[in-house]
Amino acid sequence: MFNLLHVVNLSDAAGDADAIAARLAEIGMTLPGVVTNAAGKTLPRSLNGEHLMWRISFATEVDHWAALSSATWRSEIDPLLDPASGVSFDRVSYRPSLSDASAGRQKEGIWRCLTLSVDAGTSAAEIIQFEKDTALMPAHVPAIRNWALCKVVASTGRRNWTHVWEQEFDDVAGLEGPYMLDPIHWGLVDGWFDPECPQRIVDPFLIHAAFAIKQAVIA
Amino acid sequence: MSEKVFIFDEIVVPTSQAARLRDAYIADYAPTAKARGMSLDGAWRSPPVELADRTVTLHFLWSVPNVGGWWGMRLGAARADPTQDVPLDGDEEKMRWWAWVDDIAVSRKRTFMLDIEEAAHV
Repeated sequence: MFNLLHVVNLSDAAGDADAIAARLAEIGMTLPGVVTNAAGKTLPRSLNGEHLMWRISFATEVDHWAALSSATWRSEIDPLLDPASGVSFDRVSYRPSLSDASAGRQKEGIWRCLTLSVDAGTSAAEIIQFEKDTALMPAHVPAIRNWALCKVVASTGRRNWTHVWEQEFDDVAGLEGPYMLDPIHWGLVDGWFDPECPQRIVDPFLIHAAFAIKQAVIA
Repeated sequence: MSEKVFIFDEIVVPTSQAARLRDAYIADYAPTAKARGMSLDGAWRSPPVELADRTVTLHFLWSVPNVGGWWGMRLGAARADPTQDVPLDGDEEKMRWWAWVDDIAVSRKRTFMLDIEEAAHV
């Protein structure tokens, strides 16, 4: 799998988030190599999650690059994301390095991402340990259904994004409750993010955001 | 069972800078920590004797009443409340403070701890 995420900010003049998300999802289904495709308004309580998000899984990285350079993209998608229309976005192309989508999903839920930027100059050993610690979370937090810890291949936007940590939950309560309360989170993993901890390596400016899904998007 | 979470700072500093860091921690950092719901349970220095060409370790033990209090410390009380849609608060101030400390300190650790229940009746 190879994934593409847009986190989109809309000015007042840009149009209605629901309508734009619906249109992006509709066009997304027509792109080559699409495995899953979903868009929706960013749920409340995001950090830097802006107004809407659009996520696609492609079968291969080749499919992803083909989609971005396709005639459909130029004629249908570029106009929807046109800065001249008051739209700005983070675009993140990323590959899962560790994942488990075995839970599947044939019902509504939420997809949530933590899109983050590890400080330049961080040692490989620290990054590997950060990734290992983060990947421990699903075993401790059963509310996490499907999940993937991903490395960013290319990005544009507000940071030089390096990782996407994405999960699916049955509902927001799973994210706000078990995910936050388990000591694996606050007692171990958060130290990589906490400006007060000397082991911090993640830029405090990150994207924590979720949107509603009708079925699994992490494939 | 106590739900209290302890936060333990250990800061190793050259002896020449120990008083400076101690005073700044107490005067500048402690009030902001208390404002985020942290209680200072104790503070120590080691070794008991200060030697000019060695280091001193400053130890500060804080606590918050529970995991909710821990997130209040971490994100700001309003952000930690799931019923409020507000931004995260205070990261820039924390970054500035700890960058200043790290510029002076030789090393430091922050450790999160829970009670050992089995030791309660020793």
